Amino acid sequence: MRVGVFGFGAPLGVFASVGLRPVDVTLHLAEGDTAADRYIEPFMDPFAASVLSGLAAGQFDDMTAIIFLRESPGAMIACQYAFELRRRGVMPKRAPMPIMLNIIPADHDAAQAFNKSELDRLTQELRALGWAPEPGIQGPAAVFDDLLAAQSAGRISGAGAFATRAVLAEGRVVTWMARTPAGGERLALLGGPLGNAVLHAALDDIGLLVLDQQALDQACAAGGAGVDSALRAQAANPFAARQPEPLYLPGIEGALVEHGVDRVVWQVDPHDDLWGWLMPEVRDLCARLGVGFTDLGFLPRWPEPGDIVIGEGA
Amino acid sequence: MMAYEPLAISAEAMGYQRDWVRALRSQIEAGARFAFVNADTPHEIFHAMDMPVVVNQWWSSVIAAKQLSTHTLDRGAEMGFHDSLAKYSAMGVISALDGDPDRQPWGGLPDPAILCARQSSDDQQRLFQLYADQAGARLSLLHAPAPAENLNNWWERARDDWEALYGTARLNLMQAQIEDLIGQVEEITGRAFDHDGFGAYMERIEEQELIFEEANRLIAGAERVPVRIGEQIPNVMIPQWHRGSDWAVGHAARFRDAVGERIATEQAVVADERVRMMWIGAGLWFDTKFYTAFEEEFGAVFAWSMYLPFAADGYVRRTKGDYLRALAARVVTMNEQLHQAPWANAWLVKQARDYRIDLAVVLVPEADRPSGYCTNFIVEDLTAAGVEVVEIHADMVDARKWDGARAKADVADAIRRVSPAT
Repeated sequence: MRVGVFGFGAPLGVFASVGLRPVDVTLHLAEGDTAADRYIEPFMDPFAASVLSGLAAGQFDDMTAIIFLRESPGAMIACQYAFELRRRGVMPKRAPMPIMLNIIPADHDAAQAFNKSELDRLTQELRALGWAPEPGIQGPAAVFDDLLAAQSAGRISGAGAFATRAVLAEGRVVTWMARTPAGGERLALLGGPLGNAVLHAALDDIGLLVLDQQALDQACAAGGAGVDSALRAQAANPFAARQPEPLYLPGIEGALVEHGVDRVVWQVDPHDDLWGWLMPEVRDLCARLGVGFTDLGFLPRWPEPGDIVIGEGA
Repeated sequence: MMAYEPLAISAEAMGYQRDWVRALRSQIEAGARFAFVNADTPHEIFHAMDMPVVVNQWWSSVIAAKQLSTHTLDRGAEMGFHDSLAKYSAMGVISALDGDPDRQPWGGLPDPAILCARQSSDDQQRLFQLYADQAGARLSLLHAPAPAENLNNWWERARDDWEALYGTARLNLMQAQIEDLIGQVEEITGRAFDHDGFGAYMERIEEQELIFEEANRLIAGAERVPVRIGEQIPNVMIPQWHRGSDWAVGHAARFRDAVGERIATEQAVVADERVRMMWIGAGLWFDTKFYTAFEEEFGAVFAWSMYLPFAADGYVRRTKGDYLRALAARVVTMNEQLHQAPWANAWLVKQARDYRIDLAVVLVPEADRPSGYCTNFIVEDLTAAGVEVVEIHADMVDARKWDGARAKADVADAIRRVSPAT
């Protein structure tokens, strides 16, 4: 039985601790007209819009359920729309069951109790659909960490690392060929998460993309062995979009220093309602650290090469 | 057309608020420690502990009403905040970051002692952190996990069956966070929380909301709309900010009675009422005259805004003797019920039927995603219920992009579709 997960910062270590190995569908780009389109507002989170279109088009019909991560921007609304579209008969009968999952990035007593109750609910709902836990699953956190290190060392390109992580998140085994490290300005890509590696490839062409915030979030969220450790990893993740503690800026500062970044490249979705609040502070942090800062402004989440303009003097 | 006579008690409410604002300002200027909080947080805790509260969205509406939104939002852009970011929840924060006393109501607020927000939308922790850092203040963020599924009919079940409707795990979490908030306010004020007194206070709030429910039924059932929504809103929201106080409960009763008297004496906003309208969304704070613009020419009256019916449906939670848990049930999903499917669309259809609505005007604030979501479900369901719908894509506090002439023309066209004779 295949179970999907939708949302950035998937707690893969948490899932592994209960014997679940979901397939990440977050980056799936659904194209073409679907019956769901007329319900999707133009300002909806594009990843949410895409998963809804994919569900309506039957592109996930090989899955029994898709878990929507409430703490990932757009995922809660995607799940609620999926419920509503099912109720209205817009979704195909074979479409996977949407399951809302709240794993709060906090570790006070009430949050821990809540997170455990959510995990209990998740496994009960999945069991009711015919799922059985798979013993001995190892989460991919170690591989994500290796990829971060390889990217920082220039042994894998930014685009290559992105593609490799995407394959890993789909639950497939990957190998990658280490390349001879290239030279150039050491770049970090920060801001909103992206759906493809087009910007990464463009940055690979002008420098060395050594750090990607999306990858940091993915690696931190996947961390922990065993349920308690994996839940603590969520609370400690500075890059979690809805992290309630002020951990983001110290986390970014530490990463910029650790990876020897020369320049930050910042971008967000045209309807971004979250990351833009952090931009001025990141810009000021870069100035303090002597790190260059280039704001690309708004970019589509699945950009085409023509969308990317890195101008003179940037 | 007869001239519309405002209710005498409206001036009384405005006067009370003006005096309260003056007193609050004096208290704050004299060094009183106050809280800056979002509208969907448990104000009851601050009120019960006699800690002054400034409500973020109210403060935002004050900025807009004083025609300071253009300056404030332009300053936000100069700081580097892009234009797609939310405005309603952000205006007060940007104003504080700007810190220009000449461009803020009251010459600006002093630093709050504590800020409180619920993470109902994705940006709240970032926004409130910015303000907390600037003010050097405590920040109390309340988690906002989603229910496993949004179940209808929430407005009926939420009154008694809230444990099942909202879920024990979510209520446990919210109650624990409210208890933590009590501890923080105790530390700030040096006062101990009075649990017995709080119970009595919660009962008074319920009494108030049930009075508002009676007023709501009167207006919905009236042959013609007796009171403009521009008057309904302050008569509801001012007591709501002071909910449970003697004045608030008394004013709710005076409002209900004034509405009843108007209906009994056959007074109406428009003598020849031809079209009844509902305004869906937050108030259009910088242009409230919009609400009356269709009365004279078309006999079209805004009968409904969310503020009055939500007083009962959004607030009445039978306590069963457990007051903190009932408060958790009130807060745990407060704002979401107005903006998420199927809660919002089903409730609005029910409201449209209760009020015999002909035309719904839906405010769609694109830079405030949580408030804009669900629009297409709302439009489809209202249309299926026989209600004409007009969407206005604009922001409740951002006057820069408001095209009043265009919005009026769109509504006028819709009125003609509903009532060709007009």
